[in-house]
Amino acid sequence: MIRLRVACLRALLTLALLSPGSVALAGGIVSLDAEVMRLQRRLQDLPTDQTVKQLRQQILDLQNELRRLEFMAKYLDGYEVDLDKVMDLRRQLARAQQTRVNFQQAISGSQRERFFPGVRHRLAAFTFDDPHATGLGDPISFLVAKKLLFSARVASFAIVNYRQGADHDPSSNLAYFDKVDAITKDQNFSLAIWGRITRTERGVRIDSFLQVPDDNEKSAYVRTVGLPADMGGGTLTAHLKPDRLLVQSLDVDQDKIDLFRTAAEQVATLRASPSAAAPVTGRFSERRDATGRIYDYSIIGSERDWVQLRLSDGISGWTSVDQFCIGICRALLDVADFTNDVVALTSGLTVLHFSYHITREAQAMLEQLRALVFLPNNPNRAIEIAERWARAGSSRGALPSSPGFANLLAVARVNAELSKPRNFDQIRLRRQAVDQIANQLAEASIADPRDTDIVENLAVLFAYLGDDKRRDLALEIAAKLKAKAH
Amino acid sequence: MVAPPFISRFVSAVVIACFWLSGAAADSILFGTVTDAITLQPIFGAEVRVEYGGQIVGAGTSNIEGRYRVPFTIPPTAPSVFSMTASARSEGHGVTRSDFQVTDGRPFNNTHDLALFPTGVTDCRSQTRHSVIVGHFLPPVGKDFVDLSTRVARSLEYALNTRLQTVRISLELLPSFEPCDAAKPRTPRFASNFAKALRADAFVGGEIAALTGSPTFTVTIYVSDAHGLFSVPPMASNRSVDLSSPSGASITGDTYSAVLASVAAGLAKKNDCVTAIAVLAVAERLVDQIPPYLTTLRRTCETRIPNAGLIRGPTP
Repeated sequence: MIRLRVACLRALLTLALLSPGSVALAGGIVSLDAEVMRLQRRLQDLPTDQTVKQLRQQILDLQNELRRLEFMAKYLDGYEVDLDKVMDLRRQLARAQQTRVNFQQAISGSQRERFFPGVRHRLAAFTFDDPHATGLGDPISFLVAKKLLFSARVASFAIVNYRQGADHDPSSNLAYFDKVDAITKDQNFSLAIWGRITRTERGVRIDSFLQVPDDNEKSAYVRTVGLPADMGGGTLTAHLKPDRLLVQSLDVDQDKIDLFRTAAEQVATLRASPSAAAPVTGRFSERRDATGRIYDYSIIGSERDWVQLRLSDGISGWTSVDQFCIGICRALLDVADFTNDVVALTSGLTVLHFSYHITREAQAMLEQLRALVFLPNNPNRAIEIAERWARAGSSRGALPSSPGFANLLAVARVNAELSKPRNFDQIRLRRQAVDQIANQLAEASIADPRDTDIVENLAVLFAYLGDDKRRDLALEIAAKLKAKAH
Repeated sequence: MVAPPFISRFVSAVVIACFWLSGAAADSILFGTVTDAITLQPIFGAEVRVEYGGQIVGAGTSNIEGRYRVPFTIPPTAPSVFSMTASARSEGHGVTRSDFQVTDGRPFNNTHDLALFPTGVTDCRSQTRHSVIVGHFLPPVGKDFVDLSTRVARSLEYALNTRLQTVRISLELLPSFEPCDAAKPRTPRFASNFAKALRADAFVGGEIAALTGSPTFTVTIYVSDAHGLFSVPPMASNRSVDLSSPSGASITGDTYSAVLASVAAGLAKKNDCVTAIAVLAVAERLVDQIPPYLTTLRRTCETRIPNAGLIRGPTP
């Protein structure tokens, strides 16, 4: 421990060491450590509900107070301070100034304006966290984002890249999915992706996550079925569930790590024609103009797996992710293919890629989304998909999506019955069939007692069956769940 | 800066002597027992003080059964009902302080027991609703891996909290993972006492064994819980672990599952079986074969949620 104080007071410190306990005033030397601790606490307790300007000012005040303490210890007789603690706090304040204020700006800034407001499909992509300093965070984030953009299957599509990860930082106690939701608040992104790279015994592991942000209106991920007037006229609902998942956990051996760096370098290089051997015309990664703004670019052409880009400074050229990201690097791109398929499904397109290196829960999510898309007009197809996955998951949730599939199955079965040609408002389904659907759904409600869709759907079905006791219970549970969620 | 024990003891003796020599007549007496918070065994020779407004108004030591009897004076300015502080310390243990109420010149409760934590462990007491303490990993002779508990805690935090967030466990119910290298249970069975005393749901600890002729190690991790879930702490071993890697030790699905089961048991104990079932669902997905403790806990919880009423009784 390095202590900063006026040297001539060493004799007095000797006396201080003999006194019991740790005290602020010891033998004529005043320790400023308690003051430093007080500043530390003030930094930790900075309220989050302030404007960026207020926050910046408070951090500035703390920095000034810390400087005053350092000055006292350096130049005034009778004061000492633990220099390690001062340096540590100084670092924390500098970090807080960067991350905390940036974090607040991300939130409050997003309330002011939306990025790409006219674009239909807007994705948020976060820098992959790299807590073990593998140096792969930026190349991997770059490759995934570019693959997403270059392979997008819908016409109106934009990616907002966040230059921060989802890990903990000093500015907030939020992390991971919750942090992504906080940062993208009010942006109404249809999806967000983020990830994390950690060292393993054999190399590195790259985890990639996808989520439907909390603030999303979720219309693309929900379907409803209205009951006929003769059945009470209620509505059955099926949401995509879960809407947060691990898409891929990719283990990369030590000797393959450089493939990602090399691929990112190559993808950032623009060429005169769609060929790896063509002359280089420029680079488009991280090019900034005089004001520090990253140059925009647009895709002006494509050929096979190459795209032609034009940067806002006039430079143009060809690049390709698939050409250069090969081997284990190609497996990473399945995260982007999966995400693009999710976006495509919500636009009414079909799934293109079935040979993903993705988790089973990601496969289940895509299938559930397919079933949801089929639900209104082709309920039998939805039943077929949901039955398969509900069976695969078992009723007690070996897959996170199992209760979601069970709910979707119940809604699809009712819709299949209602779809038979007859006068809609006079339809009354067989009680025995509805009773069976309701009882299976009640089982799913035990597997996931927090699923509001399930209990609300049960209330509708029990009402039709005349089971007032269970209907009231279902309504009561649903009301409590909704109150808790808010 | 902490004074050496002998100085502390000397000062304490002087304080006690001064207290008695001053001729102050004791107004009341505080009784109680001093025990080790982990072993629950009585502590002999612990110094017990009674303080009011920062002044020592009584002092004594515990006997071989851990019992103490401290006469103390009541300051003339004190109101009829007020709080005083009792503190105790002993070699190998940190200081414990706790307030007691005095009514009409006498302690409100007849006895005031004090539990002392081993040195370094006091600060590990959890401040969050649900927590997991990651304690000491016993290293091979001649080796030291003091930061391993921190690395394991970070690894658990990331792996489990990301999974718990997929089922939208709210921030205040997410467990915290707190390293406490000073917590060194003699055996894994004993570790549940650490979990209880530190107000955590689970205690994770382990042992590291060197592999002959290899730079790698075998790391055995056990999980003990505070809620009586495990009669024998579940253990899992990882061979060929490179402890120079910042990732620390690989953690198996069995360990993850046992930790989550402990958290779920903590939720169930607080009558939140709805959230406990969500946590159990995550735990079930982390193992190839669902262990009996998960099944038992789930069944218990399923009977205690209101949704159970939705499947009871025949439909009219």
